[in-house]
Amino acid sequence: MGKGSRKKPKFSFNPTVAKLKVTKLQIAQREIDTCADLYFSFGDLVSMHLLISAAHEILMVFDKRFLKPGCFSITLNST
Amino acid sequence: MLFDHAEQYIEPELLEDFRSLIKTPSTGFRHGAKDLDAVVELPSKLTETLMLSAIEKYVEITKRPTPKMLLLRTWIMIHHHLLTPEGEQVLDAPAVRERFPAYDRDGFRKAFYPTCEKAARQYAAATAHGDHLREIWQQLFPKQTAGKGQ
Repeated sequence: MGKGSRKKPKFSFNPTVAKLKVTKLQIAQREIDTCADLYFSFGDLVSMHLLISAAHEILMVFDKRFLKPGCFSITLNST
Repeated sequence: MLFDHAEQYIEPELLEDFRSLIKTPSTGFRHGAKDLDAVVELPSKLTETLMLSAIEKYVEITKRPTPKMLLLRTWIMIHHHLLTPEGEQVLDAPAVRERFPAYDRDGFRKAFYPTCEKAARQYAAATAHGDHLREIWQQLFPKQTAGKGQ
């Protein structure tokens, strides 16, 4: 399915309900910070790993679109 | 960046394994549709590796690390012996390792957080607010940002 083929959703959030708006970079920053909190309080390893993987994924896309190869997965994928 | 150009550090025949090693645990932690009875293995130190990689990349993109990022990066680099000999000397890493052994992460946080806060402020002062990110947005989305933020 191409980009233009996405159907208009039948349901949507009530526009009057307050929403938290965060950019992808802010999400990555929050995830890394929360991961640091968990790490220094010996928090759950699975949760930590999931958080940092999610942040890593976002930053990899930035890396791919804007910067030269940096995050190691991008370097690997391009080989 | 520490993990740039992985092929320089890993044998070509091992690159495939390396790639799957990185992605397998997080995929396993997330999904349950196919293999509900599977046991997911998380290799030791992989989480710390991803932490360092993500922090380095975040700093490269924004130039503005948070104090928590600096704290985490410092801890990992000291305790996983990732510093150069000069870095070990500058940070007095052996003494830090002795004073804050692996179990005393909380002590390390209390002792070093103020320094990391100060360093983060210096990073922020070194980059005019928003200028660097605006450049990124303009390169990523030239049409949407045309004429904005001049």
